[in-house]
Amino acid sequence: MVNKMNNEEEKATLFISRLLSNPSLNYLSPLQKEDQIVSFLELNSEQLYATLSSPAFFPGKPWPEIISILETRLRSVINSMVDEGLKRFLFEKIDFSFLSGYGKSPGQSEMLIKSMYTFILKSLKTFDGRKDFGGSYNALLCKLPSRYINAVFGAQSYIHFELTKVQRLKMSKEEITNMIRATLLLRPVVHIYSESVHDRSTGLITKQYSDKVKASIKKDLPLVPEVLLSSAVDSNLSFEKYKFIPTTGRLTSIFNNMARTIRPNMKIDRGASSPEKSWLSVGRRNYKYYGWDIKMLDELYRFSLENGW
Amino acid sequence: MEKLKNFFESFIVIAILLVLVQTFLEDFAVLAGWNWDIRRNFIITGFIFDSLFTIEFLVRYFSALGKGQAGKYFLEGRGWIDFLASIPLLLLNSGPAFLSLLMGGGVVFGLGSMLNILKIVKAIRIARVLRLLRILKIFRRIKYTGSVMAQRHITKINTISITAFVTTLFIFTLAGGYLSLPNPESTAAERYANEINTFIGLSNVGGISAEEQAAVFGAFDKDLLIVKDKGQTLFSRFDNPTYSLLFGPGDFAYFEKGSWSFFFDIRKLLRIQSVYNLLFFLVVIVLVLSYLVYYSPHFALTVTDPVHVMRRGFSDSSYNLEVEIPEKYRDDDIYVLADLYNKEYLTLKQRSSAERGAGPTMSDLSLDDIQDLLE
Repeated sequence: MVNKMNNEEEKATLFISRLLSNPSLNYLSPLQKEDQIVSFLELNSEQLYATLSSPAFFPGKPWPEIISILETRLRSVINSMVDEGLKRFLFEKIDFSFLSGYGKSPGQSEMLIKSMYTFILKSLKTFDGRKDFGGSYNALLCKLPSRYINAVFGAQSYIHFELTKVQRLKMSKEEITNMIRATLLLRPVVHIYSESVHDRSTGLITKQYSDKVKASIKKDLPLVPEVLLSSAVDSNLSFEKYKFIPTTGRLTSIFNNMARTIRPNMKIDRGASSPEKSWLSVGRRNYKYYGWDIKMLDELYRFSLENGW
Repeated sequence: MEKLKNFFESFIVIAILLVLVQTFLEDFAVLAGWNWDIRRNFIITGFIFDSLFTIEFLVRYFSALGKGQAGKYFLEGRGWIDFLASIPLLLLNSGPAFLSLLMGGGVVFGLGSMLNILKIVKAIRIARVLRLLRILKIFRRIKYTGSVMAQRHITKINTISITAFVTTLFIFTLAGGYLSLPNPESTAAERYANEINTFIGLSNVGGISAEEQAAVFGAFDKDLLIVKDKGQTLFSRFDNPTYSLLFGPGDFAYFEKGSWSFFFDIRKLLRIQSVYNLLFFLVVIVLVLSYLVYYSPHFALTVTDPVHVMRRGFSDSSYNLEVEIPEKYRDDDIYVLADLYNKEYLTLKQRSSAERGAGPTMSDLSLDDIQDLLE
C-alpha cells in the first residue's frame, strides 16, 4: 500500500516537474506557475484524463482523484519554492531594523520574524491566503516597494506628505521600504482566522472583522508593533469608507493587487503599455470599486510613466 | 512533396535576388563602359534567368490549369506578374540579345534599315521595364511581418504603385514610338543618314582621295568607326584586337549604301538608355524600401499593433495591458476604439476577473508542450 502511494507520488512529481520546467512558465513567480498549471489541468481535463488514467500513470482512478493527487503534489512543490523565497525575504533581504523605532530589541525582532514566518506559512494553507500572498510575493520579486518609494522620496509630493506628515513615520526611505515589504508579507494572515470573510469581488473586509483579526493577532503575535499590524490588516479595508487607513497600508493594498497580474520579465507586445502603467491606469478608474486612494494611484501612475515602468 | 515545393520556392526567391543584381549590373556595365567579355556574360545570364522564370510561370500556370484554377492563379494568385516578368522579357529582351550574340551582331542589326534598328532598340527598352516587376515577385514571398493583414495591405499598395509606375513607363515608351517624339535614337539615326549622304555626295565631287575624306569625317565624328568601299577598308578608328575587347554585336550600327559600308559606335546611345534603366530601377527599389522600412512599421504602429493588443485582451483573460495611444493619432478610428477598450473594457475586465476568483481561465501551457507524454 505504502509502495503504491510512493509510486503514485513519484508519477505525480514527474508529471508536475515536467509542466513546471516548461519554458513558457520561466518568467512567472511560483504561485503564478501554480495558477497556470491548475488552469491547464482544468482546461484540458478531457484530453489529460485519457493519458493520466492509463497504466503508465494512475490506472482506474477517476479524474477528481487524479487531479487531487496532482494538485496536492503541485502545492507541495510550490510550497517548497515559496518557502525558500519567503525565508530569503524574511531572514536576508528585509532589514527589520525599523522595528527598533518601536522599542523592539534585536532579540525581540528576531523572535517576531520567526513567528511571522510561521504565521505566513499558515496563511498559505488557505485558498484566499495563497492568492493574497501571491500578490505580495510577486510585489517583492518585482521590487515594487523599493522602486516606487524611491520615486516618492524624489517627488516629495502627496504620498511623501502622507507618509511623513499624516502617518508621521520618522524613518528613512530604506526603513519605510522595509516596513512596506514586511507589511506585504503580513497582509495575507487575515485569512487565517476565517476564510471567505471578505467581499469575493473586491477582496475587501469589514471594519468589524479587521478589529477582530487585529485583536487575535495581537494575542498570537504579541511582538508585532501596532503600526505594522494595522498597516497589514487595514490594507484589506476600503479607503473610500475608512479614511484612517495608514499610508503604508494603502500602498500595500495597491502593490499587492498590482503585482497579482504582473509577470516578472514579461515580454511586452509592441503597441501595448507596460504592465505596471496599464494596471495603474485601469486601477485609477476602478479606485472606488476596490477602495484605493485615487491620489496615490495618480502619483504612482505618474512615476510609472516617467520611469517607463 | 512539401519539401520539394519549399525548395522550389526558396530557389525562386534566390533567383529573383540574383536577377535583380544582374539587372542592375547589366546596365551599370554599359554605363561604366566595361569590356565586352564581361557584358556578354550579363546577356547570357539574363537569358538564363528569363528562361528560368518562363519555365516557372509555365509550371505554375499548367499546374493551376490541371486543378481547374488557371483563372484564379492568373488573377488572384497574381500569375499576371509571373507572366509579365517572364515571357515578354524572353521574347523581346534577352531572347533577341542572346540570338544576336549567337549569330554575330551584324545579322540582327545589319540586315535591317535604320528604322528597323530603331524599332529593335525601342522594343528592347520597352521590355526591360517589365523586369522591375520581379521585385513584386520577391516582395510577396518575403514574410516581413507577423500580421497577415499588414502583409496583405503593404503588398497590395506596393503592387499598385510599382505596377502603375511600370505600366506608365511602358505605355509612354510605346506611345513615344508612334508619336515620333524626339529621342536620342532617331536624332542619331538622322545624323548618320545625313553624314552618309554627305560623304557619298562629296566622294563624287573628287579632288580628295576617298581615304583622306574618310579620315576627315572620322576626325569630325567620333562615332564613325569604319568606312569601307567595295569591301576595302578606307578608314578604321581602332585595330581589330581593340574592337574585340571593347565592342559587342549591339554596340555598333552598320549601314550599306551602294558600294559603301559604314559602321557607327552606338555605345553612347546605349549609355543614355542605361541611365534611364538604372533610374527606373532605383525608383522601384526606393519605393519598395520605403514601403518596407517606413510604411510597414507605420502600418504596424497605427493598425495591426493596437488590434493585436486588443485581440489578446479579448481572448486571454490574464492579459490586461492597455493599448498605448500616440498623441498625434488619438483621433484615428482605431485609437478611438482602443481608448474605449482601455477605459471601458479593461476596467470592467479587472472587476469581472476578480469576481471569478482571480484565477486565469487560460493557460500559457498547451497540450503540445507535453505531447510526448500524451503519446
